[in-house]
Amino acid sequence: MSDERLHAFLDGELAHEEAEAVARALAEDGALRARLAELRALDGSLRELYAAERGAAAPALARLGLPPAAGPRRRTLSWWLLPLAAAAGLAAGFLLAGRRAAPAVPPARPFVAVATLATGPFWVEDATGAAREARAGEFLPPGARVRAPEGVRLALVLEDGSELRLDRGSAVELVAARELVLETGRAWSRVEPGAPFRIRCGPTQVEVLGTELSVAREGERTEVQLFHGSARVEAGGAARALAAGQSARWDGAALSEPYRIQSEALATGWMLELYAYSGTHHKDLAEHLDRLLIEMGRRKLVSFEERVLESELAGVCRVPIARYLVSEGAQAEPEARRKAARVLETIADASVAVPLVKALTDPDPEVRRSAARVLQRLSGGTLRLDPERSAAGLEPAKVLECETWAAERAGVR
Amino acid sequence: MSPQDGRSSATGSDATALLAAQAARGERAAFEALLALHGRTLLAIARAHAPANGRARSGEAEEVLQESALRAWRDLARLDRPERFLAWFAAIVQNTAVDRARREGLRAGEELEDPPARERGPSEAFRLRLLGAVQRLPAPLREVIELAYFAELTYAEIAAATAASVSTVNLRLSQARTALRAALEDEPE
Repeated sequence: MSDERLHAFLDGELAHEEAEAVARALAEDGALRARLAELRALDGSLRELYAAERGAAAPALARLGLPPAAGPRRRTLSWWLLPLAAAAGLAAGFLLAGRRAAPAVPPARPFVAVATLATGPFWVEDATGAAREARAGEFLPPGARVRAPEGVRLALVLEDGSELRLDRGSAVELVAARELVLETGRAWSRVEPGAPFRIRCGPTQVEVLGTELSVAREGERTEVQLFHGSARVEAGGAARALAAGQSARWDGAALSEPYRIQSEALATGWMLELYAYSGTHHKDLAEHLDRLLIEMGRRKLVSFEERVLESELAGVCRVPIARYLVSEGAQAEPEARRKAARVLETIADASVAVPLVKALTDPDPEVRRSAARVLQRLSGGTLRLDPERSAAGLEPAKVLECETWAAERAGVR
Repeated sequence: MSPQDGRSSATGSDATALLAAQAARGERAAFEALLALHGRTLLAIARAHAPANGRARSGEAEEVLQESALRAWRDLARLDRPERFLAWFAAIVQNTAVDRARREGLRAGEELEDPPARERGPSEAFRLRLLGAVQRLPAPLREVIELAYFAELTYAEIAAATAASVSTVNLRLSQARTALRAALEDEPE
């Protein structure tokens, strides 16, 4: 077996089937196992060395205004699952995987949450009111009150696996596993399915059936934004059922009717800083940026003017507009989508080849026609795409040819 | 066969391109967001190329990164392909390190003094030998080690930062580790 392949296996970089093939070879070949063991020993030494180097570099990173070393990466569970895995006794398995520090060990006494990420120290008060400073990795007992100082954001995983993130200057009481009181500030939560999850916020009571929402409280005012799933908001004797994408507000006297959330990506933008702490390829970051791109594309289309096509702005617009065009949310906006496709005819370059190929099989013939035109241009004619035939519907073999072509272009990029 | 490609999210690089395009138009917040997203990667590259000046090495890398950030901010208007921002910035970091080494009369990556004689335990001694061996690697190999271990990047991410292919990254990392093992064996304690 080649050195490279063994190193890629060690680094968790092989595709699933290939990794399995290497694992089978290892099972049969003692010499290969010995080679891997030597590599693993060196890898372990390097990891240890660089953990110390990163520790030594932390002050430098702070001086440069950069987040410190990321949490666990590669061949690991998501950072937010680690404490749960530790609680479930899976720690030994992770240590074998060898890519991370040992997970925090849960305390013997009961806990309702663990702080998994914090951009700085925060405060924890226990049920007696005694306050102490805490950091990421802290296990929190029932009744604990968590306060994020100005300038600090933090993420928690609740006992049931639900996630909770607190914005700067927020305070929350963790009454029980599925019961919170937001005293002030802003919290986002992704709720695990199960029994109702309750968030109290002054006179406002939110019952969440799932799955993703944000609650913000400022003085007497409370705003509840539901991104996914369903929830019920009660205040002042009134009750509103919220559907995904809806928001309701309590202004201190009355509870509003549900209204549409303008932009989920903008509403949750404050969590970007937490994502930066958890590494650049964090799943939530990818999802957030995706939503942000789609939202940007939609907005750019609304205010799009023909002169922009000629300007430097075209380069900034093409990715969000292409992303918007193929997004699920855009399906209900046929006019905007046609406009997006037309605009792309002028500004598209190879960086948006993949979404354009997706648009070849769009339900809207006009979108298909535009996509064919622009792909014909980008391929220098080699794809031999006829816009009219594309509008009528392409045969699968042709689409496959275009997909292969686009994938190669994306690889070049 | 090759290590899996495209595991790094395309969205992440799209975001980089968007932020870079905004930064190029003078938006400082976008530039700062780019630094926050890629700061550790850039510091790893600075470490790989900074002139080694005894115990001041990490301080030197920090200076290199700071100077590079200023240069990058000043030159951003000349970035014509925002999607290549990281590789572009990485090249600036590398050039800055070389320039500083020239100014100071040092060869990039050269080790001037023996490591300080402190904490002489066996594990500390081994750590220093390993660090010394990394510093003696040729620059491209030193770079993949720093990116893989200091910045903890995947192959795809290293490829994006060094304008190399994923298979080149795989090859360099295996060559670097092979060289490190040989260096440690040649120089028994």
